[in-house]
Amino acid sequence: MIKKIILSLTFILALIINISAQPMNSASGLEQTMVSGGKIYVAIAVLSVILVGIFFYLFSIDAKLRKLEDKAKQD
Amino acid sequence: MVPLGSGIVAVNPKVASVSDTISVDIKGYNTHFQEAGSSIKAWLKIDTLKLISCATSVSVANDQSITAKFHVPSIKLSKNDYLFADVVVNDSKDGNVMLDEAIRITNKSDDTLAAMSSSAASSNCIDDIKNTKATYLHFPYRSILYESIRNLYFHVPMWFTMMLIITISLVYSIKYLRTFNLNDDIIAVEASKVGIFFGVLGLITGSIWARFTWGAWWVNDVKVNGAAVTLLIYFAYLILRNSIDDEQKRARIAAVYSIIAFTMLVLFLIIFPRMNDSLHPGNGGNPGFNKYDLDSSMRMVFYPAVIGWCLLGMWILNIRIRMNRITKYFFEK
Repeated sequence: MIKKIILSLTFILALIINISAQPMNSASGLEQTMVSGGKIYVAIAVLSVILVGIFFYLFSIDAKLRKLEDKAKQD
Repeated sequence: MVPLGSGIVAVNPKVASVSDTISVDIKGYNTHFQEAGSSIKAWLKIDTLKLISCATSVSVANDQSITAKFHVPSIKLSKNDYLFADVVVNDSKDGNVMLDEAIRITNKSDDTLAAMSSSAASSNCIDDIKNTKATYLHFPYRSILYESIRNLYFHVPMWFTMMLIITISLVYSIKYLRTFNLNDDIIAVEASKVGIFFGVLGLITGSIWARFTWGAWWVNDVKVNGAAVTLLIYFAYLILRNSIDDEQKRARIAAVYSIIAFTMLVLFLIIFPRMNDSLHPGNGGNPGFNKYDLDSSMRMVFYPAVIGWCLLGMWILNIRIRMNRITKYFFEK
């Protein structure tokens, strides 16, 4: 579990570093996409982060509950 | 979906000389110029001189762009001096839309002070700016933010939820110190965990929002740094707990630490941001969103959103508390 979390955190970190390594002033692909449509994609990105975060959290709770269930069956 | 209100994105040209006749292309956002048709009026407004000059003619190209002809007033300006004029457009559907400091007015030569030709003012020219509002429900148009103003319903409630749940943690920490009932300790620790989770979501979403409005993933802002420090303090709370084996001792030390952590949270998230200026709205003596940031159309969605996110947080907290109790039950058996 901890290994998984560390792995996914490193992945996200690498992604962020990769994105932020783009030159700031020249409009990169990401920049152009995010700013297009009146910056509506910023709102979409934020909402997706929250949804993914909450689902991730709920799945981790689910996994812990399953472990408890298994233990209850053994007893 | 409630649309964003209309506004002016850009004008061209951005520089004009005094006493000139200029033809300005005005680019709107979410405007309905074609629908409004002949009701469109446009003005040049120089705030510093309280001067208003109206457009002699307005031609509509499409919903998002019009061309307006202005006579720049004859103003006394020395050679290298300049003034800014705002562009204001009013139409029957969108109400007033405005671009601040849209056109820089300069002087070509020292001595020009030509009399403004009286024929410039045509019959449909109104010298006072009409002040009407849009006829449809919309969210406020803000330059820099644009549609990302909708993040108000996602980013801000994360922090509201975090505050609520961390407060629950504080209440049960104090309760534990009064009763020494380990059940209260379970609620306190789970509340801290769920609170941290919402805080982390708030930081990440804030970072994304900052990148595409302020221009950087992280800005050295009192509130932003304060939020990060607060989260670190609560991370330390979890680490401190895990480092103590004895149950009662662990609960007691953690409860005391939790009270200290909460005072730090109040300092870093509530007091310091109000003492300093920052990019973040709700700072520099201004306790929250003022009427310019948040109008009634947004409140209508914002308050239910806050309640909804808080309830979701409480539900997750509830599940985690019940799970922790069952774990403890198995552990004791």
